[in-house]
Amino acid sequence: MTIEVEGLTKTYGDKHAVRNVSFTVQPGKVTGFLGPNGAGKSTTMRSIVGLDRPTSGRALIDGTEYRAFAAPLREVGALLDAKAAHRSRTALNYLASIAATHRIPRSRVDEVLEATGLSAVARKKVGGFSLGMGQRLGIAAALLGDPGTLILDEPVNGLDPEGVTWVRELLVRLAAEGRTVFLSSHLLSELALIADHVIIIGRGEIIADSPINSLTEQGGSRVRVRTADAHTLTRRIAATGVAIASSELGLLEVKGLTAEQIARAAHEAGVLLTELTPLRQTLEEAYNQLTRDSVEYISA
Amino acid sequence: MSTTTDTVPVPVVRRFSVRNVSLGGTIGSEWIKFRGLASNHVLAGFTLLLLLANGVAMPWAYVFRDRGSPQADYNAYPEMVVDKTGYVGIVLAVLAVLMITNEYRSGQISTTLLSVPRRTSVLVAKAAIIAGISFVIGAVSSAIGFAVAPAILAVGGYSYVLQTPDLVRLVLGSGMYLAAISIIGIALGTIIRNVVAAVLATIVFLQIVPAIPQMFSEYGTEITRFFPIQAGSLLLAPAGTDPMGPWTGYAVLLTWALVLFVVAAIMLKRRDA
Repeated sequence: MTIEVEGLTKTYGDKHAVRNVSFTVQPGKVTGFLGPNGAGKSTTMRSIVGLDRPTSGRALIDGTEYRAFAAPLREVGALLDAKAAHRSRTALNYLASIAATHRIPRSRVDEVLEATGLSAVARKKVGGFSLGMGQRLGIAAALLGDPGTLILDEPVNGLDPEGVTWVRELLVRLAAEGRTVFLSSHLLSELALIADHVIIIGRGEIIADSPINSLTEQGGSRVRVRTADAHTLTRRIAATGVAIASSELGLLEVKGLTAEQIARAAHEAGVLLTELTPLRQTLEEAYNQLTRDSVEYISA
Repeated sequence: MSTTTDTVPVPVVRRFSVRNVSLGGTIGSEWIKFRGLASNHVLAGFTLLLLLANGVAMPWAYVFRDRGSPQADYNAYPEMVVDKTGYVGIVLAVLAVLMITNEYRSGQISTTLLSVPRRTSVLVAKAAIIAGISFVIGAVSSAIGFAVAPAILAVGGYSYVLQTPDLVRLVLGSGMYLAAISIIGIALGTIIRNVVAAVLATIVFLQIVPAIPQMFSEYGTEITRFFPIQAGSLLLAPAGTDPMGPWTGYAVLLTWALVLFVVAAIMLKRRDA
């Protein structure tokens, strides 16, 4: 179920929360939505699911606006606001009230409680839930209608390592089933593991929209080389456009040459290599580079 | 990690049914939400008890009041059984306000509007639940009151004349009156959204504002009689209390409720969640 955002603009007074944002989210893959705090991620997501009305532009899911769906929970599962339930309600009551709108049977409610590990606390009040449990409840609500599209805002927020792994595996599985998985996260290391595609927003505008591999390749590939004879190798491979850095004895970081080129040069020079590792720019590095100018709240 | 770009979406085979959102389903959802909060049970039960108590206490007071007092001479009248409904209605109005403002405070409103994006349905469903509960509370408490009152009055040798059409008007009217008041509560809660502001505004609007015209002019009563509680109470008052008949008075109350409801629906639809 493709999400299409076209020229989305939302202003509050004369302040732009998002300005002319356009992108497409494809099914069958995990798409990460990144950006500094205040960049407009939540505003964008809320506009996609019809909670906020954009000033101009629109968002379509499979060609339809969210508000026009006859059974929205069958099409889209959204987690936007963890623990968005009255404190004195039980988890079961919360999910049952959602299920009732679409006449989803009680058995399905029990199923998602089971799947999210909340069966034991189903009859406890939501107010007593920890951050992680509240998060699981939100995920349970999103999964209730078994939707083809998932829109999740910080799904791993507050989860313990076991929970993080569980969500990771869940999202990858859902994407493999052909569903659309669109999530925002600040946990770049996690996102790097599961995202196929990345959209970065800053100060209300899209900064990047590409497959994750292209993004991390942009930094230029580097190769880590470990050798006893760094001196000879350096002399051999130094040339214009090649940068060599060394942080410890025998360890080089070479930019501008492929691993194969370095291996050949070493072979010809009779230098023994004990490590040859192509390095990718991490997602975190790419992200920091791209958003450096867009961060709203900078720590001292 | 899949890296294919053109995956054919696997048709999702659900082992359970998901039906289109309907008003019936939405009303069912609101009922689940209502009964899931202990505070709702308490407030509704409290209102019922107050009305029952009134139905019993008024005849009792009539029988056992000081017989030397100047009031000793008028005949017992049936409307005494339901005459406090106007005041108790405030509690139900507040309950209705809370029904919607609590959702804004806890953030549940997002979940609700994600499940039912046709927002007017949400408002109609909430109104249906609280109006229905209010109706039952009013009708049941007054029915019991009228069943018990003649026996109490008989202890003092008093009785009243109550024709069946009037009995029906007073019993059903108690329910209808409270239902309309609760709709005003839902509407004001939706328009104002903030819990404290909405509750205060409801109490001020229903109880205090009607008293103001009289403070400024002797003709103030002409304005006051058209306010919701004053007009609506005519449905439960002895004939001749006001040139407007009981049903006209109720029509005025209902108009207030419907106008506020429409305003609330428009604002709910237009505004961000």
